[in-house]
Amino acid sequence: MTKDRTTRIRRRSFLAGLGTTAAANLVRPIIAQAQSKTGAPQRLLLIHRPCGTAIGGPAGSPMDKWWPSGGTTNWVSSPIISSFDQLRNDMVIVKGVDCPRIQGWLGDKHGAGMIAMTSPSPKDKGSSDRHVWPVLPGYTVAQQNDTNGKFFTAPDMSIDQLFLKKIASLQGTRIPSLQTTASMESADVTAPSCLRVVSYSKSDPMAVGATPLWPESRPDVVFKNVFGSAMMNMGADQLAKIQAQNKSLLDYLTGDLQALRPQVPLSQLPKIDQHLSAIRDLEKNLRMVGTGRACAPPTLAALPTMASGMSLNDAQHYQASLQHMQIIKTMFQCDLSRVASFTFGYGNSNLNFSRLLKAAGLLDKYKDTQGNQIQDTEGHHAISHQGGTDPQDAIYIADKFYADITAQLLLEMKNTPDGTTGGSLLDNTLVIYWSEVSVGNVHDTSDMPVLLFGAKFLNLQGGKYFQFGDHAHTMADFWTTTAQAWGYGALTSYSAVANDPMWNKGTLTGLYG
Amino acid sequence: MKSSLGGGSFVILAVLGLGACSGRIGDIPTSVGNGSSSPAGTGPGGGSDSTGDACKPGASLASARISLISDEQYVNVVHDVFGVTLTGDISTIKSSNGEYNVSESEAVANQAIAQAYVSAADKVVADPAFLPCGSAVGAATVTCMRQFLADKLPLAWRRPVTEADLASLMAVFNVGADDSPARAVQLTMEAALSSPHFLYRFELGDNARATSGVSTLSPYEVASALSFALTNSSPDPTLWGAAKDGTITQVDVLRAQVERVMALPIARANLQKKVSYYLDFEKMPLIDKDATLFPEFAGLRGTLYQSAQRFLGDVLWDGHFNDLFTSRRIYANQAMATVYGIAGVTGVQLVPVDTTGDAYGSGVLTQPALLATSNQHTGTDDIVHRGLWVYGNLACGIAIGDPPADAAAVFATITGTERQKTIKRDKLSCGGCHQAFDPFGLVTSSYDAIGRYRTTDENGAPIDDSATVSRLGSDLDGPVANVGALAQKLASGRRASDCAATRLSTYTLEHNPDVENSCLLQTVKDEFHTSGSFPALFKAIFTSPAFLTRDL
Repeated sequence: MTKDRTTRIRRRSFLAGLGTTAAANLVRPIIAQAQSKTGAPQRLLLIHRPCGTAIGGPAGSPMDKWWPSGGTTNWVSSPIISSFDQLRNDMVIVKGVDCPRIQGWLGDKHGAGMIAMTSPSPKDKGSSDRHVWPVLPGYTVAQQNDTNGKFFTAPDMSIDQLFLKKIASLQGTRIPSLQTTASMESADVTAPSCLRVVSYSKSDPMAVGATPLWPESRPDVVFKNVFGSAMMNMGADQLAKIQAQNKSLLDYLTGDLQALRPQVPLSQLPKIDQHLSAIRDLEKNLRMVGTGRACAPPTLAALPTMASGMSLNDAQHYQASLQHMQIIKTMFQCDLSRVASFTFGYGNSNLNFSRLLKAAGLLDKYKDTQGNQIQDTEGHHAISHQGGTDPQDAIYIADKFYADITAQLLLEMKNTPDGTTGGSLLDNTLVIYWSEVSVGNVHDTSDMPVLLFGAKFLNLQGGKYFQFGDHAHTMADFWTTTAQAWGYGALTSYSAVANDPMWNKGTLTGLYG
Repeated sequence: MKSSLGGGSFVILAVLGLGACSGRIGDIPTSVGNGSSSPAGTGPGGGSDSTGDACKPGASLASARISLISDEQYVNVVHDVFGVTLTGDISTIKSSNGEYNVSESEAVANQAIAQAYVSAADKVVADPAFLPCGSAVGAATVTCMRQFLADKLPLAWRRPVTEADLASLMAVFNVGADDSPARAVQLTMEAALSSPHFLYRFELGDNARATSGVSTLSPYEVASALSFALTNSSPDPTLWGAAKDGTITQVDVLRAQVERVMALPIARANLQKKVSYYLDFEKMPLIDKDATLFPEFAGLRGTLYQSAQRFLGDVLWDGHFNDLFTSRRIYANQAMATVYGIAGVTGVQLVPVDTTGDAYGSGVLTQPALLATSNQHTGTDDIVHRGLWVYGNLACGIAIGDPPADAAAVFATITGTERQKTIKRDKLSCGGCHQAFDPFGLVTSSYDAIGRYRTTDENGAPIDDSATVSRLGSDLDGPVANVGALAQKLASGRRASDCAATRLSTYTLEHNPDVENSCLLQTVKDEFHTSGSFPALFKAIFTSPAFLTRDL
């Protein structure tokens, strides 16, 4: 007798994949909710926008279109952060968090920033090649050694993948994690580049570098991947049929368990009773289907195909951004995945705001602080390096545009009930809104413009503006603080060299209460 | 009860009712479990060291219980009964610490797990190999599905299936049939495979609701318990036949079935895995070493694991318990032999080498894989964890709690070689616990962090391998000159064989039989000490009269 068997003894914990039928795709994720104290899944969403934020006003007050004024709780919104005013009590602003990198490191600085914000920094290789990134497979060290080389990768998995691996409450969905972008450039795998990627996996711990998880830019493809075509347009009759089927199953299991109660020793009754309780919880969630919590896939309009005078990427960027946001929101609502990373555009984004705002009919909505339409006709990366005629106002407009779209998503999440205790989709999601640099022109890595949202389950101190002091903390500190708040206490350092003082300056006190 | 008993770190034997080391000399009992108070009076240390209660003459090896099947068992039963090979997790996250988790059998379902079982059933039905009516699920009819269930469920559920059972399941089928035949089959299998009759192993017996005494297992329960213990799956047709006609509870039939099943490759692999957990070999693939100091190690990790398994296979199936400590055999290929200084080995295949000299002549204690694994430090010598491995795994020393909060600060003040540190440590409060296990580490001082033999320490001075064992009973206590001397003590005394018998009883029964404290467990230990045969030990467990009953 030969058998293909694994003999590893496993620790019992959370659920694995979900059902295989169209019906299962819709109903089972909803059944799968209510695993946490709040009766809802916990989630992680990374939202990246490229090229930093506006330099702002006079010398001595850099980034003052970004940073609010005032104290921890009585802060006054800034021109850009005002996009999130309706989310004030769901938002945390952190100032004094760096993403330390040495400007002398080889390779593109935006690319390095993309990696360094969400992944461990590379190991110190010594004085001659200090902190050299691992080279992407198929590329040479010489290509990497180009000062602006882009063919490198993260040394290890990115934080979203690490959390997914280590934090049980993020696991168990049909789609482990999702990576998307609203820029075609960011999804162009024919020109591999660290600039395009937020998330990295690493299945082989002995490998030198991590594997980029290239984002998908096409909303229709993402839609099919996430929801599956058979799930669409399910009517009330079909939903009722599925409910009846699942009720039949759960009634059967309940009956079996009840029948066992008189047969087992009293010492074993708690096992039966807890199993019964589990079945009752499933049933309770089944009843929630059709009572406002049923998830339905978004309706996606066709993206613009005409691109007169502009690239298709410019023409579609705004609508693609909105559609990706809707997919992520619904995917979370359906509990099809609990981890997502989204980037509006890659670190060298060539999206042209004068064109894309025109295509979106938003030229009048997005004006500079003096009330003027965007003047610059350069791409986003170029204006972040002071290209064009009015780069400072242009970069402000770009960052405001992204803040508004993000706020729209987060507001919808805030207004979407989730779980059984009155919470919202946003409450049950930790959202990190970030860029790979603070000031694009100099690739500044201090005072990173990062906002946090939601995460009531972690007791994130919504409404507060934490000003930790210049260079007080790093993103590595932020991730370890977050990991510990999430119960992943083993993560005490998130640099490739454990406890390297360059990255490890201590936890962000008070962030999670 | 959570008892993770495979650890080479701090072994938790909560079931013994013994407290953690408090730092006072004399806290550590000198016996293994309570066996030393056996009627025969032949416990560790000749019985003179006993601190336990007298064993119970009529007690079973385990209590009446129901246990959720493990993921591995789920996969195996589905494979054996339905011909479907599942991959990936069923309800769990992989355990990554290399320890045998006995508490698995005490697991309880929660909503997520219940949901996961439904999803696992869906995977079974979606598999092309699942052919309920000899054809695809879409062609299923009421008649053929009913017959399919009648044929398959008894082995899947490990008990006869009644007309009422079938009627309940077919009612579920009919609800699904409103949608489609495929959905009807899926829903029915979700029910059948999420049923407690499938998910739980029942060892209740004929008197489970009594408040005392023992309950005699039914023939089906005996067959199921035996099969899961030996093959991690449902009974095969022959064993099932002995359950159906009731003969499995007859001593001769039971013995014959135990011997037959134990001879199956799957049973041998399963039992060897349990021994591998007992010796911490399963931690081997998980360890890491400093790549700068030991650049060759990463490439040898898999080889070392296989080397250890080959050694274990020899001892387990063709050797004697004493060989575990006295064998001079190392399995090596050229790459491994080069690193470990084993002469005369060429090629990539592992070959047996019966070594000479001092380096690798003490069985498991000098297996490079084990030396590397128990040395938890990645780059430096690790006397403490090596000592704890022997203390916990081989001597079944009492549980020792976590170090005090200031341990790291105290340790930071201690300097010198590992031996010097140990001596200094023993003079501090640390010594209250460390004196119990550090000696076992000191005798391995001749081996570096990856288990290479050496004759001088980091300062070029000759290595002193001597130590003095204390507080573990007369057959271990006293001075030992080196690892070979310790090996001789472990081989000749009762403590190590009793410890092995307890550990392997625990892993095969998925329950620590010291809880019931049956005198028949002592008989098993006595027989093992006499025979030194691992197969005989397993046979003794499963043919013991105490295996056929469960305590209430």
